[in-house]
Amino acid sequence: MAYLTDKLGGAGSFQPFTMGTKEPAKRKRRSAEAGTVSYGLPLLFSFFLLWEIAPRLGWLNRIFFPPLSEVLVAWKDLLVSGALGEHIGISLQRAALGFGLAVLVAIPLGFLMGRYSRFEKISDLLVQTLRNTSQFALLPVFILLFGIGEASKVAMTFYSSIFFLLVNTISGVKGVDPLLIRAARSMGTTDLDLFRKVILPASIPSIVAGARLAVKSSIFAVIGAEMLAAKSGLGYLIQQSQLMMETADMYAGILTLTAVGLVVNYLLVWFERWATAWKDHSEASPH
Amino acid sequence: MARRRIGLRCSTASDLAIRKGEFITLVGPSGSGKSVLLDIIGGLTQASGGEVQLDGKLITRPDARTGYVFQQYALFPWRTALANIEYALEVRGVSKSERRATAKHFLSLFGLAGFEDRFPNQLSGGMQQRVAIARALASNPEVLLMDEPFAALDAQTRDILQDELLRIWGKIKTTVVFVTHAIDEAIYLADRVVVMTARPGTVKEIIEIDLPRPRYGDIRSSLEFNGYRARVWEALRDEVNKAQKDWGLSAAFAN
Repeated sequence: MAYLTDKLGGAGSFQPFTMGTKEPAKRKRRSAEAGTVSYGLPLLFSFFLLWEIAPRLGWLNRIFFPPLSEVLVAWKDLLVSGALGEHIGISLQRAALGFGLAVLVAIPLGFLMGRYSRFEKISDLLVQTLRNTSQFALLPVFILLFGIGEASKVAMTFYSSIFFLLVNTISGVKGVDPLLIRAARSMGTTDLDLFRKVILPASIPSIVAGARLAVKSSIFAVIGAEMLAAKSGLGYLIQQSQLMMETADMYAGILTLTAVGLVVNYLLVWFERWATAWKDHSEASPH
Repeated sequence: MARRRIGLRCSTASDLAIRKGEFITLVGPSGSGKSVLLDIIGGLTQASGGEVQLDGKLITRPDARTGYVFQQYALFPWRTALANIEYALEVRGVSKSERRATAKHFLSLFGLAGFEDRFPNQLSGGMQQRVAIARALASNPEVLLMDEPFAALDAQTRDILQDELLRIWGKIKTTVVFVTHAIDEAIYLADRVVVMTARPGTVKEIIEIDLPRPRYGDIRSSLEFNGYRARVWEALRDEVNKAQKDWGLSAAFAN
């Protein structure tokens, strides 16, 4: 969690957030990724193997660290009972609601702040102040405001994803090639069309990069919120299992969370490639 | 055909009436405000004084009757070649089927049939500029404004595009105002070459180019062409020297 809040903490100017992946040589990167996976498998398997045998050989306390096989059995039981699916569903729903609301607010707001410098001047300080306030510090406030129910969790996920979206929308809008705007205006583009047909598509790569981080952040936030104050969700499952000393269930919850994170990230990478496909067509340039 | 006029008063002394269907090239030293003048005609910049009229109507903002071509193509990278041309019609509210047909027509006019679905970064510079010109022409403008459109291209491609431009202009006979640094290009294309002074940018001399059309590349080595080259250079030289003194610039006229 800390690295996310660190990233949010950059003071002053709006630097767009990006994840490790950078633009050039996507084709190469894809094969490199496949290579990394196969190279990395032995070490991953060794880790799981160690997890299995270390508790059995007494290197680790079995109560705190049950062998992987026991965790998997617990995971299967949770899955079959339907409880796991329910927890995943409720967590994802909270994250998605907060993220969705953040998109609805951040993109229009980011357009205004990126396009009209006066608007940005007025709102910049407030935004900087808010985005440097941890969403976890605000959970008690959200609970006071919205009660212990769903609304406070959605507020958490909203708060933890909006700034990624906002900052990247602003930087996307500011980064639109002025020549394209001139060209559009020379063809008589109206202000509304300028936003819809030029500024929005031109800022999509930046917005989508922000959205990837926002989704991750909202999932982290919902887990945290559920650990602190909830009666359902993956975070609740993990926290509750720990309190009950059902450590196999706890690890099953953690592994599920990892799996959800991997799947979501994969979907987001796929979405980003799809949304910015026009950037990826540079190899063929006939005469 | 009625001779409609584009009245043009750039700064105090720069009066220029452009006839309908005429090919005008503007040459002048760097900083003489050629591009600014083009922006003012295109309605992208407000003139500090004076006015631009199109058919007697004052131009204060981009007019549907002008098309603009930029040196750096200015194509939308997220749109295919076809969709880039369609854009010009889209913002003017042309129906989808009609704009598709028009865009295809203009694409094939520039020899780019088969490249409809290419994104700009899949096209060479020359092809991108062809698409950009097609986009500017697709809305059937009365005036085509071109701001050093071939300056970023290699010499061969530039020659080819000059010929293509003349060929297409011969077909559709729109009025063209073409800014260039290259004297040869200015003469080769133009009905009249307008030489601008160094700051303040005013019209210094208008040189009528009385070369037969259609023109072909070898005309450049003809005696008359040489004569025009000398005249334009003569008109330009003092201004370039002045501009160099003003700005401390190195020779901007390699051509």
